[in-house]
Amino acid sequence: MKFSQVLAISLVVGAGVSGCSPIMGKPYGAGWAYSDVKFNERTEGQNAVGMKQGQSCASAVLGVVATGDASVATAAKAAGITKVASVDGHNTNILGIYSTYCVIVTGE
Amino acid sequence: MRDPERRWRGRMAIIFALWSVPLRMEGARPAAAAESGAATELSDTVELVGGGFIRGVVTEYVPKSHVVIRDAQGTLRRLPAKEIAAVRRSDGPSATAASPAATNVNAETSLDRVLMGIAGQRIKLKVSANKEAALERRISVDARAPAGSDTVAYYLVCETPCVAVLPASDPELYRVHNQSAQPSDWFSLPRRDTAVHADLVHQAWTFMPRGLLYTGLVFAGASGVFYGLGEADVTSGWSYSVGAGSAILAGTALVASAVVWIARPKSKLTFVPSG
Repeated sequence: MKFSQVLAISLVVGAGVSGCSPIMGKPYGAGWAYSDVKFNERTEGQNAVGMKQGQSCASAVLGVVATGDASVATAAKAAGITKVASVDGHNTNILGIYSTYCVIVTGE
Repeated sequence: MRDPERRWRGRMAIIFALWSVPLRMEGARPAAAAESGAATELSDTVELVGGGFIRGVVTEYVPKSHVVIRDAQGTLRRLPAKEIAAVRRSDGPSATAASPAATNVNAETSLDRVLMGIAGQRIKLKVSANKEAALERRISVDARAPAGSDTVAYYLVCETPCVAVLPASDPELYRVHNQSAQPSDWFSLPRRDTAVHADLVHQAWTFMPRGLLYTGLVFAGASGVFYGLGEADVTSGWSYSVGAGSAILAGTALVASAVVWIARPKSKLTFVPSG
């Protein structure tokens, strides 16, 4: 196989599958065609009703370029949370090309 | 002749007997006692989920469990949390928002404290949605997060279906949201009791146009690369075919992105005044 063919195939395959490694880096929620998955990172067992929630997101294109601030600290700071009760994640991904990862912090 | 000690004991017995009569009468007539204090003390109000209310003096308050209130007749009434929409106490001008399905009586959260600090009329907001969702009260993040950042902060008021008792003059905005759905627009509280129904659409309708746009751009880039390879005579002609295929995919994705963006459904709210 010629080098040019290898290069072409690499480009096509790379473009398709590189987004399969979403920015969250979790083994779950990485559906290639489409994923929309919530998951829990940490829970202290408190009821969320009446509490504060902060959400911050980051997005990635092709799994190559990722921008945003999906840190727990940013989400907690935005909501003025000083005592974290739970941390959830929410991952969405389409065709392995565009994906987002949001962290949702609940607390007081 | 009686000695002074016995005379003193006799007088004390008479005084005690006279003093204890009104005390015993007081104990035998709790309703009368309650009535005498009713005019000045019946300032606590327990609002019920069904829309009624009981005015009296809250004597016991156990968050998430029950409230005991002495009503105008002096009767002690024990109300389970699931029957209570809100509790207004005389030492605070406000109400406790609650959900019949969740934490009905819970003044321990920061949301309760915030709402209690807003004086004025209370309204009942009956919230429902076409899917599991929550009523959220925005926390302004402008001062904490840079403009345009993908950050949002809010209080979870209640989980639908629910009835929340909220201050009508609350300057902050509310919305109905589900993590997998497109949130409703932020809205100001209505000035009277209102039923709000949210028709939430899947988040994919927000997400899909952007994904298709990036897909189109990626394939457009790939198309350019393959045409470039063909023009440079690096390949034996097959790269033109791949480039053409990529260009068709790119065009399709870009057109689909525009069509989905224009035609996408949006989450919407319906307000129906009640009461």
